[in-house]
Amino acid sequence: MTPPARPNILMVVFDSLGETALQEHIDVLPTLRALQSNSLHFSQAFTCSPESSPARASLFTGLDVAAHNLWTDGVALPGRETPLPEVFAQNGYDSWLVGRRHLAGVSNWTTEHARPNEYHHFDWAHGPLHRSRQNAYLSWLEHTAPSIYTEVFPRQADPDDTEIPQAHHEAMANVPDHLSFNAWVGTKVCGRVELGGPFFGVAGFVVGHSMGGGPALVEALDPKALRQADAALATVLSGVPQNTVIVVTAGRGCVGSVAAQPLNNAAIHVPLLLCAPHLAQQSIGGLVSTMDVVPTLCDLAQVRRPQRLQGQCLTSVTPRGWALSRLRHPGHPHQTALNTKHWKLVLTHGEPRETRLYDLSSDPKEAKNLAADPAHQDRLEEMLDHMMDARVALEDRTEPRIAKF
Amino acid sequence: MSDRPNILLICTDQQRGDSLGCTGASWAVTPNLDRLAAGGTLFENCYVQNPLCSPSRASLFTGKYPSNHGLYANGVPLPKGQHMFTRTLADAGYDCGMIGKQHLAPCDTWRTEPRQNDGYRVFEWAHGPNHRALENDYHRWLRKTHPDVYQGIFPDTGANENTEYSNRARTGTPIDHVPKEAHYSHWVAERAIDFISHDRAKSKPFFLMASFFDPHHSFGAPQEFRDMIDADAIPEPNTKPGELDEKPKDHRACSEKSYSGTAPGFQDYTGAEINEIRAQYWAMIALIDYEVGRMLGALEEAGVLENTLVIFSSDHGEMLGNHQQLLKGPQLYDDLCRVPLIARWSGQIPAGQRIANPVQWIDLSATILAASGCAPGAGVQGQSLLPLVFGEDAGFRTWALSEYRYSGFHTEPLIMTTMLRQGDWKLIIWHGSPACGNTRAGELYNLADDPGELHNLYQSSDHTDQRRAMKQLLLDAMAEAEDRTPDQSRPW
Repeated sequence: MTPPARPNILMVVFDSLGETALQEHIDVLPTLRALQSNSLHFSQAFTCSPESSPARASLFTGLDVAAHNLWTDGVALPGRETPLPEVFAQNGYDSWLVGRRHLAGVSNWTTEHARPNEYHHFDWAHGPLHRSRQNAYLSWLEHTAPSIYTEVFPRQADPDDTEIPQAHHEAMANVPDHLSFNAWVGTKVCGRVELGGPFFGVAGFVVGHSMGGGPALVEALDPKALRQADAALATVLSGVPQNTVIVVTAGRGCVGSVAAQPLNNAAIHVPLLLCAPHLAQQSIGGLVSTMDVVPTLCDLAQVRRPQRLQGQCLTSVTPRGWALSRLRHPGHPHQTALNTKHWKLVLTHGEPRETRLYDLSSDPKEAKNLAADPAHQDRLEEMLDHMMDARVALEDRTEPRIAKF
Repeated sequence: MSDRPNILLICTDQQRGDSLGCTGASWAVTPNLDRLAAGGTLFENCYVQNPLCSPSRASLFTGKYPSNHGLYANGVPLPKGQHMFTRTLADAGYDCGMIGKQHLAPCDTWRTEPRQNDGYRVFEWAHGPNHRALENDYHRWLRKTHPDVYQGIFPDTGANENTEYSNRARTGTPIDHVPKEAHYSHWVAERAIDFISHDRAKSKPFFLMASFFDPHHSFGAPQEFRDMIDADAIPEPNTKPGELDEKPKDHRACSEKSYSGTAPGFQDYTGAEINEIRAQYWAMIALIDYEVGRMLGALEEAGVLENTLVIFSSDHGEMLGNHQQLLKGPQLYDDLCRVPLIARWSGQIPAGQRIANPVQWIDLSATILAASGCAPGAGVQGQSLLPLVFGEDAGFRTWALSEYRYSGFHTEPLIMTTMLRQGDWKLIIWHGSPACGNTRAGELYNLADDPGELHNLYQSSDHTDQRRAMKQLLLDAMAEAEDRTPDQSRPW
């Protein structure tokens, strides 16, 4: 008997796409709509942070921020962690990334480097407006369409002046679809897929309004970029072999044009689709975390899980039913949020302290704070208890106990 | 650089905060420690971050809460990459030594504790007086200095299965009762005195950890020291009728047996036996005090007492029959979390001062690094106590946190508890799902009215607001206690 071929892995990671936003737009996204109707759809998936880097670190290590310690944007993933592509590379997979990574600081047009054994091919580009010299998309654009490139970027990049003029922003938004960032991601990914497998690939699409050009504690969605990504994904999927596990998710959520609380679920509730040949379509409403992706992919590919791991397999374990998210941005009061099926608690730490309690079943947009309502004091305390226990559950106890004392 | 202070850290094992004459035990025979306190500053509310040896010591050496250093239970090795403050001292030119018990790695089955990247030049290690590792330096010393004692007590190599021998002992074991000249505590002092008087590098300041095993059970001391203790002067254990009915359910199991059922518990003893255990406990402390006196004498004789920062503390407490319990475990009473802390540094730290602010064991490394002029190492979460000592308490945290994460012997379901002390109030959470499968429960005490923690106000309807306020405060403290070590090297 020949052992079954090892499945390829394709992780489609949007920079900022909320689950609610995706469902609002899904009718104009034929590829994602078809994929969703053919996937395990986790309709209640959460990230550990509304910031991009901490959330991605969890997605790629299977650890909560309490363990991986990439606590805010601009912090590099500590060297002791083994990101998932490296795990697969160690197991004989060809690993590659096209587009965004963001596991290290990239402000001031800083170039992000892969680790020595993380990716065999690293077509890195933080976004279409990120002016690192090593931005692979911009190199491609300059080579493919020099006149457009010059029109968008008439001047050399200055790391001390990273303000993107509105004109550049608009010029980039108006490049033809086939020259867009997400079209480039699709083209590059197709090229990598053609080289064969088994591969572990990451397609890092950018659909946030800032286009990778600047920081945004809450990112607004760019619907046009999302449609371009959907079209690019169609080409990719037409070339992907049958034996491929596809994950679709986002580094973090997004908000519309209205400024929202940074821990509003729009910012931390993200899409999560898992599509594999033997997995039947199903929608799962239990709360899960994006850190659960690591053990799930390891198990599906029969690759040994990393020793340091806090996520749990999405296909074999009952969803946790709760999600803890933290905002630890130095420029914002620190906040912690606990989501359960029907209730949400948000604490603002320090002074002035603030407590918010929402009934998600009747108030999904989190408009009415019930924390001061006398009728909800027992519920509030129950959520405080739950948050304490959830925090403790996520502490780093990954070092095995090898003796009694 | 020559005026950087020497540092002598005297650490005992399992010593209650209230066990010294100067901390309220009028029956204690602790003249040397009382004098040390009179010549320095006494911290009345020093809390350890975990009530078990190994996690607590990992907090001492890394300056981090157990939830961050990752050594959450006895039997877990200190995870790779955790930085010991002694390494920082050594790199700054200190001559560093450790004599006695360390426990930053599993020592079960007579295991030899591996060296860490600790910065020590001198490392004379002995996990305990009954620990049969071949590398037990106390045994090596005893074999040379008292061969008859050694042969009489340890005629064979000892079976690995017998690793819990002293945990299971109901009374002192033979090695606890040897004449003081052959005792583990004497060995610690002898080797420390040799370090101070001869062995240290005279061109450098020194750091020495003199780490006693006593007054850890088994409960036994040389007769000479037991004779100094007036057992009748020791009060009866602190409890009240029906106490266990008011406390979270696991307190009862902790009363019946200690160490998750693997060691005799309070209920296995008669009242008279408990009283003798208490007398032996203070006999062990009297011996420690005697040996501390000899070490301080050696500092004086070497002419370095004035420029030595002497710190005395302990890794956690001991139930000692109070609340109808013995030894230690998930209970976060002051019996287990509050430890003695004395700091003496002539001409620097005010003499005779008592500080009531809660301080934490993780503050010791920050204090030592500050006194020695070293920058705090990456990830050190403690705060230097020096500003507090000099009366600058603005900005010093007002609370203390302790975390038990199935740190002791195994139970089903796992037990996890968290303690927050602020002002007169103390909250203890017994965690439930999703932290562990245990039943969620709690304790709330007003230490001003009830310093003995006998009256659990957690379910009291008069204290609902206080309980909820303390829970919010605990969540704030836990957020503040997170490890945000890696630098934010870029704005985004």
